[in-house]
Amino acid sequence: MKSKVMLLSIALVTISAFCGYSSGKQDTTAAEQQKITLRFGWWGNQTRNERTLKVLDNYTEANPHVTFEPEYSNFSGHWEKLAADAAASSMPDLIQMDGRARYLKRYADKGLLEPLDKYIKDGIIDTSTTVEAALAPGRVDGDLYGYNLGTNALVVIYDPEIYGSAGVAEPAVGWTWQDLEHGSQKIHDALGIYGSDTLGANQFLYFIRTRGKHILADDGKTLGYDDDGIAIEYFSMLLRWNEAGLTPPLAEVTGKPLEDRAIIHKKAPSYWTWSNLIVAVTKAAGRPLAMGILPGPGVEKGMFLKPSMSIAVSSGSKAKVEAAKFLDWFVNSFECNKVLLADRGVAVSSKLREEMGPLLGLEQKQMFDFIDLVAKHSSPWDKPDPNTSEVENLSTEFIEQVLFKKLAPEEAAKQFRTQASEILTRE
Amino acid sequence: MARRTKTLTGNDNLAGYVFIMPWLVGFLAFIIVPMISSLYFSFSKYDLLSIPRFIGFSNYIRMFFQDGKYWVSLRVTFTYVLAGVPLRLAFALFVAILLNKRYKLIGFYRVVFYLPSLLGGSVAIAVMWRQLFGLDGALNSFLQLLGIEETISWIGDPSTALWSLILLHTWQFGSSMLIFFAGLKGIPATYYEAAIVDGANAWQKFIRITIPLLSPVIFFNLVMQTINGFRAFTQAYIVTGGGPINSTLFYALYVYRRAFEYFEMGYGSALAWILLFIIGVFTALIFKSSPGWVYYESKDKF
Repeated sequence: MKSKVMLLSIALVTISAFCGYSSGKQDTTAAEQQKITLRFGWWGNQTRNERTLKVLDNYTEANPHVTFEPEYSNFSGHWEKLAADAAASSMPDLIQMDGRARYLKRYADKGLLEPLDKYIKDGIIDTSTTVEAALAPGRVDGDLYGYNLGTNALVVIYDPEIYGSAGVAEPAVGWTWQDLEHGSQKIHDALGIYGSDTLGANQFLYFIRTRGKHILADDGKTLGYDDDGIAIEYFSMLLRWNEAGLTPPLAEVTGKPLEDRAIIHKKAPSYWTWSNLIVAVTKAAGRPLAMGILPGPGVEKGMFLKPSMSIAVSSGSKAKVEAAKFLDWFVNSFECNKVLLADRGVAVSSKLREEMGPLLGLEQKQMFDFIDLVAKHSSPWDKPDPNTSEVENLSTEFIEQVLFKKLAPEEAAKQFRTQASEILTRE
Repeated sequence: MARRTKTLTGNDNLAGYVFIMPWLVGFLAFIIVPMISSLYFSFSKYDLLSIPRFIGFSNYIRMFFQDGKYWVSLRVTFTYVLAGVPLRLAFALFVAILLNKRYKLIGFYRVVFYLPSLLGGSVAIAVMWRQLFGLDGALNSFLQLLGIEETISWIGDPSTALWSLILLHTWQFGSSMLIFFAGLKGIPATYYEAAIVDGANAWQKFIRITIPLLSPVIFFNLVMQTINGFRAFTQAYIVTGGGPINSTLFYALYVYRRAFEYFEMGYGSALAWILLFIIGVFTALIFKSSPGWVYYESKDKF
């Protein structure tokens, strides 16, 4: 009797160990009306997650044979999960990809993503109202892997009231770094607040572009600019503003979330960031703000449009056609986007932009108008490279060292080059 | 009789093995096999998306000779351990002795002191710490009350960021404190009574009775806390993100960065194995020194 009980309990324990296992649910038949389940992985915030889930439900209502397994998390969690999924050869069918295309390039190079040109040619994905320039950033070696989900650009979000009360001209196309510095000084002297908020690696990237160069060379093996003077100028400029009290000290800014930046508390007249954040910043500030293009000279060379993020289909997906159909609906249809409400950025289809017009709130309209403005004063964006994020993080470190007075700008520019080369030539 | 225990089927041990089979399978699958894989990866280049490529000692050479940040993270981690562990143990011992009397609210005090160590590793506490020590945080408000106008951001300034994390570590002394409690309870009161009769004061009682008889517990806590100190990650990841200027780049955080942000699993594995080696060396050193200061009553010798 005792040994029977023992045997039974061992069997139960072993069986329960297998209970957590769940198998994949995709049908492998070619017939389209079979039940399909699409896994969709994205990152987002509360608003985006809720809206996306609603949209998935709407699609299932309209197309009952398609159900979804949503997988969402925060930004870094998304990439960790994706890497693990890729190693296990079980990536989601639809994947939100980064606008900077570094992860996109990495995954596309390894053949883990499905080229979308075939589906465009077959008419499954409609690109008739979308300019090629909007799709170009999602191409790797000519093939389209990531479909642009929304356009983004660098912006100076500023408070027109503060500018007005200090008597300084607002940022407009053609203003220069000199104008910015003089304006900041005037605001600082007149109102006793900072003249500007801090600049970082993104603006450094822009600065290099305004000089006709890029942060990485075409072959990705060296820095894209030979003259360290560019870096020295940028670092010195930031240091100079910091010492004159025109920008907040770095210690104050570290770790501050968007809702706590100086512009929210009227301690600074501006905030340097990406255009799709106008909605969140305006909400936190509780007052209307404006969007300005970055200073020149070289503003046309410097400014660029980039996808805020894109959507891709995994090459291992067992329901590629259905995934492509959903992708088309997701990026082009009014029914979908009237729920999403441009939370991922300005839609790339001009027809969709028109349809969305009446639904847009003030900030979204500002964003759409700003993107139209930048479209007229920009040039193609940098080629994506997996090493760019490490090099950009490196530039942030050196900017920090300069601002904390641990390194002089000249020394920082030199060491930045050495260490960046080490990263880029690593096997 | 002796022969029966040697055959497999009549073996009493078989039942034992069968019962621990679930754990054994887990141990092999989730600890031993990954460790061996990780050792292999440490000699290869592996970005998780393609198969690992064997590159010999390149990762280790890069770590020791070409990676400036590695030494920064080592220095940061050593500072954290060498400052944080003694501080935490000192507080734990101090408070344990204080609370070893029979006060009225003794139970309440013990809970209150233990709570931080329960919550401490959590993200919520780390976020709160960032608030407390930020530029507009509670600490600065308190200092301003005292009339100190010059305020800095304790977590934003490279010279103080690490110390704010060491403080966070020290604050969570509760778990060590509980273990010291147990140890203190094990010291017979007769020793103290005899010492009082001999005219010993509090300090002498502490030095001559408490410390020696508590030394096995101190030894245990020292080993455990040192091992945990080297593995610190959450605090740096959430509170300061390794900054500013890598002044809080803990070793474990650096491993995470290289492995998951830059897709260098091979290099990350090499870093992890060296950490294991370092922890092993420290633990061995502590063990080796123990005959000199740890007193085991059962053996009645040092």
